[in-house]
Amino acid sequence: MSEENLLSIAGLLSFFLGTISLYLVYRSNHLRWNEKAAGYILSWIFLVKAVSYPCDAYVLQITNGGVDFVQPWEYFYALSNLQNFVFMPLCFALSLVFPVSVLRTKNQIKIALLVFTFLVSYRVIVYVSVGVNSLELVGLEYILTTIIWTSNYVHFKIKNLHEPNKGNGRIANISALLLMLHTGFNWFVWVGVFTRSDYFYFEDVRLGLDESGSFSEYFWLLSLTISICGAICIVITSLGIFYLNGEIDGVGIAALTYLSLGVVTHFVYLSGAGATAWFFTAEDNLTSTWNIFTRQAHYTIGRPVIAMIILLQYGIYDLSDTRNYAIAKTQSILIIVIATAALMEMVQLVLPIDQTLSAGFLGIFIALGLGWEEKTFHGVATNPRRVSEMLAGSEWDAPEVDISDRAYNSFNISLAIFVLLSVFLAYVVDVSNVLVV
Amino acid sequence: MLTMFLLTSAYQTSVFYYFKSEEIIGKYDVPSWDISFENSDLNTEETQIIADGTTTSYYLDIDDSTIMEQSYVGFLNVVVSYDETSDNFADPCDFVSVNLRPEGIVAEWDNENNTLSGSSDQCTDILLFVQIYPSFDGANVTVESETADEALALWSNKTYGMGELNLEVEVNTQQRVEGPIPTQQDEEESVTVNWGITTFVPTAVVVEGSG
Repeated sequence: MSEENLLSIAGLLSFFLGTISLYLVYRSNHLRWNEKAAGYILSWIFLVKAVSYPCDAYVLQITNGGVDFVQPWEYFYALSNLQNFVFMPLCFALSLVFPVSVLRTKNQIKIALLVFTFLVSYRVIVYVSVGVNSLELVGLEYILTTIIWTSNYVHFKIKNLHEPNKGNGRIANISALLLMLHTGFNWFVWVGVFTRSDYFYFEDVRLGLDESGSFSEYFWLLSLTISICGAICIVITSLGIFYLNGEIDGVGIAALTYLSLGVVTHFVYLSGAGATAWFFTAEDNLTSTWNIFTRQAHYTIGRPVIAMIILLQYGIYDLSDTRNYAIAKTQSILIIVIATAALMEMVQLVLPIDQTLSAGFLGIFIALGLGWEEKTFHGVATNPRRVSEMLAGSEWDAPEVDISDRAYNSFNISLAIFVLLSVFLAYVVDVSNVLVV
Repeated sequence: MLTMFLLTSAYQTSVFYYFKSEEIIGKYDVPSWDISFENSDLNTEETQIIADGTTTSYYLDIDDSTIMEQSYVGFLNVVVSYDETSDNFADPCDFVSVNLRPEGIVAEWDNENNTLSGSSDQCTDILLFVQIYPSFDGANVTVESETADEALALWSNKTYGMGELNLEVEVNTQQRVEGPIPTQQDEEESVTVNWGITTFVPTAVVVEGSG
């Protein structure tokens, strides 16, 4: 098990999650416009990552962890970056519509679409023309999504104190989960921001292609800092509420766990060889293993699993339809089996056991995973709490905006065309050799 | 919440552009290390009587017990000396030839400075030289690497010089060809071999201002 294997597994997870979600959201006609948009956006987030993850895995493999730049690294690296140029604005777009719709009118939606298109095209043009540079503002979306989802969390958690049992807590939790999905892998390095640690301040944006001390590095670290602040705010709010009424929910515990693991991460990195405890290229065995179990596990396996929970638990799939129900169940089984197999591989990394025993354990873990899935899926699927229902009648309820199915289809087709086009654009980057090392 | 975001961002900015600026800019710079060597010489001597027309081997064993801890074998100087010991009047010096076989230890046998064979018929010392540790000449060197251990890795190979050396020495005696005084036959010669092993202990010190 290595970072390359994890990325490959993540590609597989993302592919199943993205394709099946796209189909199920398409078939779910009960949704409000923002829920439908959120469903499609989440699907595309994982569809582009299904292309990006395997490319990253291949680049890491052929470059020996970003050390020896052997061709065709440039092509696959560019292909991965181009997918991320869509992934990041998609996350921002998601924060604008879900769980609380920040966009309140049709005009605002149009402006948001223009901004989305501009962000994608601007970055792609700059990247294909001049390669890696500061103008891309990589990390901008981390700042925007953190501000929006953290505000949602704090607001609805406090509101839940005054108006309990009205779904405010769940709205807060979904915001925190989405923020965790997007930026959670950074939360493990939060201590480094304040202790001025090399492992945080020396982190590369992109395989060290950016100039050291450049604005793009600064901006990237700024975005990570802001996302860490978001996590700290979530934990402080959770602990504050726990202090007031003695209640803390699963999401609060999860965020607290991430930050606690961040303290351990700090000491693990300090004990590592030198200061080169990079995200995907840690040199020391301990830091490398720790990275696999924390940051990389979140980045690769955690994200699809969190997304699946959101899609199922917050009623984005119309599971009253028997066909949708069956497909959603198949999807969750696929995700659980793949994620369990990946976790088993990770365990093997620290507990080397022979293949027969390993196969036996894998079977047991999968059976347990499926048992859990069987037990919880029906409960979740038959009793989803839709965001629109929880916010109904409140000032934060999504306004009625008429968006035709045709508009959603155009959105999907445009993104599909972009993914296909990126195969050619990556070739342009490769032959023009703009990513000079 | 906003205050916390702003304060933390300001802190991160100050660290990036002020407190840690130089380190961040130079994060890919590799420090330079000055490697110095503390040399010491080990000498052993062996004398053998070699009969006329014969070849005798002198052996030198080098193992961990010969070399100090953290020491490495740099090079070897061999001095082969003899004198005319027949006590015959006007007896000329014998002809002595030596050959150090390039085997038995790991060394830089193909170094152009090596002298592996020699001869003398003037009773002068025969000097041989073997470069054992590649590139070692006792002078300080500068290397670039992330850590002191990495810098010293090039100078920490214990396998160089370990084993057994075989020096073959051949003696051919010479008599005075003509003269009024009769002499006894010169049938052997005493040949002394001095093995001089130069060992070194490397030390790395970072060059200030590098990396």
